[in-house]
Amino acid sequence: MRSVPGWGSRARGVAVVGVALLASVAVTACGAAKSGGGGGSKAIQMYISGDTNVRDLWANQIVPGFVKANKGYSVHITFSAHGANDTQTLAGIAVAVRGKKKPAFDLVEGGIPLTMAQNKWSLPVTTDKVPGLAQVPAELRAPALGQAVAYRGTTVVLAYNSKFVSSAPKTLPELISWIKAHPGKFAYNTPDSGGSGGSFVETVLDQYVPESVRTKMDGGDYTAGERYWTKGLAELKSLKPFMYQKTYTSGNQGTLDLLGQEHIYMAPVWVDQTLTGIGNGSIPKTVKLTQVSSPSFTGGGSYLGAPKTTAAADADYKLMNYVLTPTVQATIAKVLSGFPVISFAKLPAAIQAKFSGVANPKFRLGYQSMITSDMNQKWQHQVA
Amino acid sequence: MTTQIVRRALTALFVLLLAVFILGPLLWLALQAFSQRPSQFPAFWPKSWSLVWWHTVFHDPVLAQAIKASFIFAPVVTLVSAAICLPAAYAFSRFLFPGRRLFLVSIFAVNAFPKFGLYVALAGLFYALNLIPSFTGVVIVQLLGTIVFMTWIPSAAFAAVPRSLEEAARDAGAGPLRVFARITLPLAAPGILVALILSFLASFDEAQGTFLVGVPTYVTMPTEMYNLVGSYPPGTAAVFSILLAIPSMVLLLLVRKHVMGGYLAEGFQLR
Amino acid sequence: MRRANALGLAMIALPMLVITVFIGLPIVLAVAFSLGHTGGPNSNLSAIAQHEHKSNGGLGTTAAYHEVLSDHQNIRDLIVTIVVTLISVIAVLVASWAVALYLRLSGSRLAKTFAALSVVPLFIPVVIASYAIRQFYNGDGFFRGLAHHAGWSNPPILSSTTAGITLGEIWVSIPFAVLMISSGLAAVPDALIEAARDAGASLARTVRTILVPMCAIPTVIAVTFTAIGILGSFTVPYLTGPASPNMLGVTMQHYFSAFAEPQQAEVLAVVVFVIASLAAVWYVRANATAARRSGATS
Repeated sequence: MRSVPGWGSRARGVAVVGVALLASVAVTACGAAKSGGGGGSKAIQMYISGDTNVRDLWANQIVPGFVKANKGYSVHITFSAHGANDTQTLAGIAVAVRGKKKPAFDLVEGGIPLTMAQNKWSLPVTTDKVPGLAQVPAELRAPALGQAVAYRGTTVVLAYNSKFVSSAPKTLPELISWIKAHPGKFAYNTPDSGGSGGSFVETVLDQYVPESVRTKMDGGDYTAGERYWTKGLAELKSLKPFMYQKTYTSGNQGTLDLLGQEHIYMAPVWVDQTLTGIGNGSIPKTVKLTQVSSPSFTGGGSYLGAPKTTAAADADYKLMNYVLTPTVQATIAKVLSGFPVISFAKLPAAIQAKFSGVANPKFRLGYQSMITSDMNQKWQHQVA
Repeated sequence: MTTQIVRRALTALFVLLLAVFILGPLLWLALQAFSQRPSQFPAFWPKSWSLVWWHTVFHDPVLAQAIKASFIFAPVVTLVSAAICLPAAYAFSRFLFPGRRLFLVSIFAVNAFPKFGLYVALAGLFYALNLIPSFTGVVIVQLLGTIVFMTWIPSAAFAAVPRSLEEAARDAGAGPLRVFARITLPLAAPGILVALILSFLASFDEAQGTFLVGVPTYVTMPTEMYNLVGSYPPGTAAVFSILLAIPSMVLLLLVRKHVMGGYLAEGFQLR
Repeated sequence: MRRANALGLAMIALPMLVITVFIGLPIVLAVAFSLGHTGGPNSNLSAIAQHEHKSNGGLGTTAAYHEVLSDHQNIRDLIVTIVVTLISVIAVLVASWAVALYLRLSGSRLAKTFAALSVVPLFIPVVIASYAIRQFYNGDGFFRGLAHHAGWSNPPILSSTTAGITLGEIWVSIPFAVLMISSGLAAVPDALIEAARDAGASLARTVRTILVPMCAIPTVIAVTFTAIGILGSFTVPYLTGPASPNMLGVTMQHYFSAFAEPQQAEVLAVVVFVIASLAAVWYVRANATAARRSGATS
């Protein structure tokens, strides 16, 4: 199971392990069920997980818009804050698909569509059914295995305070030289405490992992790449004296606090969390975002997927298409500070301005959870 | 004369330092609940005041759910704990059965093994018993932290009830249950009250075990607090802290006299 | 008498059962797991474990202990744990004796208020306390501001340091010690103190020769409970401490959650348990002495 990206998913260690445990119990022996879907019901039962702003987006914007544009259709939302019921929902879908029964939910939002796809529990999502899928970046399509559609994204980027930094680094090596030239003005959180620090560590390590090896690692061969980490770990260790207070922050928020209070001038951060912080005033407006290259920081998407045995397959496809329209994509960018999955050129100028510096990202996906555990271990023992 | 003044000055300094040490962090946190961004060194006051974090907390249903869950679990755990432990506390104070000291001391084991290690092993056991996530599982985990309070403190309180009073009542013809209800229980009540409140707080405060056994279904306030600290601006955590501290402070005011009166201390001296 | 015995045992049966099943058994399981026995209920943990050492039968293997204890970072964390515990216990002891003495010898309204104040942390959830302390001593915290205004131009940031952990542990531990010691001092008869004063003994001498010896048992109890609580603590070091080195409670959590190595986490738990047991033995012996003195038998 790949860890779901994003600060809002709050994927915390113990919880993740617990859920993994439960999932392994609930999901043993999942037979290959025949696709029994294709129903024509116009009423969609939908499961949404995430922060409340995700629920608000669906309840107040997307669903009313969809129902207005498609007479006779209806969407009923079940919201689970921060994915609290993800495991039960997943187990319920497993049971329904295996028993070829109608599932409790016709459409599922968030990170679990990916787990469903890995277990082959989902309806195929192809460009004939969902033409909008063609615009979605290939790197967000790949993990869905043709069974889900990414409808928003987020990624880790470099934040810098333009009050103190006139020209931001453009590549990772440039960033590392900047850190060494400005002692105490950079910070990242421990990789186990939040994805933004984790992404920084991973990105530094990835500099020395050959592309072909990285592909193998993503394919599940998790010992393949770890021997290429030595150089990256040494580089991270050499950065320690230049960190704020010569130590590491705790949690994505710990890093943002330092940035907000102007103790540090630069840090790896989540785009959506930081733009939200600038919006509510906890981070000064002089903080700007940019993405570095070679390699870039990691990120990923939030998905929509439908259980195979749903009775509302056609309605599901219709809603997937609707969500990929420029209007809805612009709303997502405005309300959630989430990345649209279609080109920024199709969106209003105000949205383009909000994401200035980081628009049209190429999403680079993070390590799988087993590799992340090993990375955390090596970082804690060799770098911290 | 001068030594008197020096002594007074030193005492005053000590009182002041300890007061700042203890109350300072709490008041400082309260201040952050009302500021958009914390003040910047070396200033004390934030640049702008705001209620935005109160708004955030009150409009997040997760936080409301966590508050609700805490107020369900803590009373349930306290009552279960009282039902299980109070008879034992009475037995410890009145009967000299074999192995009494050993049992009394074994309650101490709860504290000696590090909580985290205990909960990890317990998680393995609970998976086997299909208790994760479950209401019962959370109640059991929280119960463990209350047994010490609920057994030792009432036991000392029962022991402090003079036997002569009980015997006098019995001589006057009262049955054992009547003696217990009319004499023993009222006299031991303050100690039991202290135990109830400390158990309530122990349950209310428990985060690690609840996290391991209850997440993702049962999220209580302290469990949620870990999230807030890691992924929300400081103001949100500050508001939540104030909310979380209110019941504790009310209980503190209720039992301050009894706690200070030595009931807790008596309980921890095993006799 | 025999009926009373049976009744007593029946009345304590329930809590003892709870303790046996939910504390005793997990401790046994934890020790077994640390020695490589990954079957039974431990198999649920083993299912997610990486880099596990399995036993080949017999008593088990100490391979996990070798791995964990040969890592110099873990040894550093162990040392930090012990040093923080020692310093905190000493500080708590000094502060709580001072508060309790002030209360006992002055008895004024101010002294009573002050003693009540020192008990406040008992009622504050630890997670809030730790967070409050982290904010109080961080880069923009009150402590730095105050020190700056008092003429210290660049005072240190104590949050995310071992000093920060120590401050947090002291804060959390003070109330219990104050309650134990002030209760012990309250039991010393006024007449005894007055007699010493009438005989011309100085305050220091009265404290040393009368109050300290009479309050030895509550002091031992306060020390052992404080030490055991700090040794196994997680929340305070997690929120107020640095990324590394930190206390073993946090290291355990790392092994379990961040590294997916529950076996190594249990090895550390057993190590802390052994150290805490030393303090526990002292507690039990002190209690036994007190019980013997007070004449109780069993």
